[in-house]
Amino acid sequence: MDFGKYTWFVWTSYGVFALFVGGIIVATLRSAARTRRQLEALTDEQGRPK
Amino acid sequence: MLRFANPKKFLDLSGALLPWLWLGAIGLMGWGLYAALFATPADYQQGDSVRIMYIHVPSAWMASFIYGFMFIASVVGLVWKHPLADTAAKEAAPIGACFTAACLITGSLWGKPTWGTYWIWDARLTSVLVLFFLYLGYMGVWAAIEDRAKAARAAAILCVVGVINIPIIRFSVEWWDTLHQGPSVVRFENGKLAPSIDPSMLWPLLAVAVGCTLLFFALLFVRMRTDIARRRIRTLMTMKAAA
Repeated sequence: MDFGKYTWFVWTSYGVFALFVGGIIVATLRSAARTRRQLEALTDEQGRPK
Repeated sequence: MLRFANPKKFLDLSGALLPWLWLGAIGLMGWGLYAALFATPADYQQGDSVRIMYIHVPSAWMASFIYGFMFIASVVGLVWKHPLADTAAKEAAPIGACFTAACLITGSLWGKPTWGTYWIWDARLTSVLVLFFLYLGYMGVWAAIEDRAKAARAAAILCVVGVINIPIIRFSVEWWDTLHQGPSVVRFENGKLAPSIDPSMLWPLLAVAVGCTLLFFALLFVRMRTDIARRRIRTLMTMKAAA
């Protein structure tokens, strides 16, 4: 999509926004998945310590 | 409200709300950003550079909103010593820092074609930069102090002191002569608060803003649940080591 003389400014802004918002989403979900795996390794299916 | 602050009840409630928060955030942000780029008209003065508004303004709103949320959580943590309040404030900070950084950089990229400069030390820009440093300082305090209770107390005090910056950000464009424009999404006109931009621009802007708010709560709940799980892991490891 071409926004004339503003093309670079518009797309760079959306790229920066995607980087920060996407970055915090990915970091949060990865950390949650890693922690869930660690907890699963220490507990049984009912959540009791192994 | 405080009865939902019980960790067990929080896990149940947040688990039920999370799918709806994700769905709402993706739907609203998806539609809002699509409309911002492809459906809304260019501004009669700023041309297509106005499209930066749809990410810059919600980022700025979120930067202040999240700090306000942290302030309330910190006060609750300090006064009622509720462990979930400290967790909420701690886990909100990185999200707030990301929105503040996005606000500063997109504002800078909007400033160049509009004002002719990427940066100027005017009251609005400087106070938002101070907010970004407050977020970093808050996270730094949590990272630097090993004892959780002491870290929570020190970080909460920093957050409470730093909240003075929020009204400064809000009113900076009215108290001082700034290059940054004054409030322009809604204005008091004839004694009534009314939108000052066309609905074709207002609705996508509100959709992105509400989407960002839902995204914040989705991320916050996931991060708080992870923190609770991490504490449980530490307890289990300690029990295992002691056995």
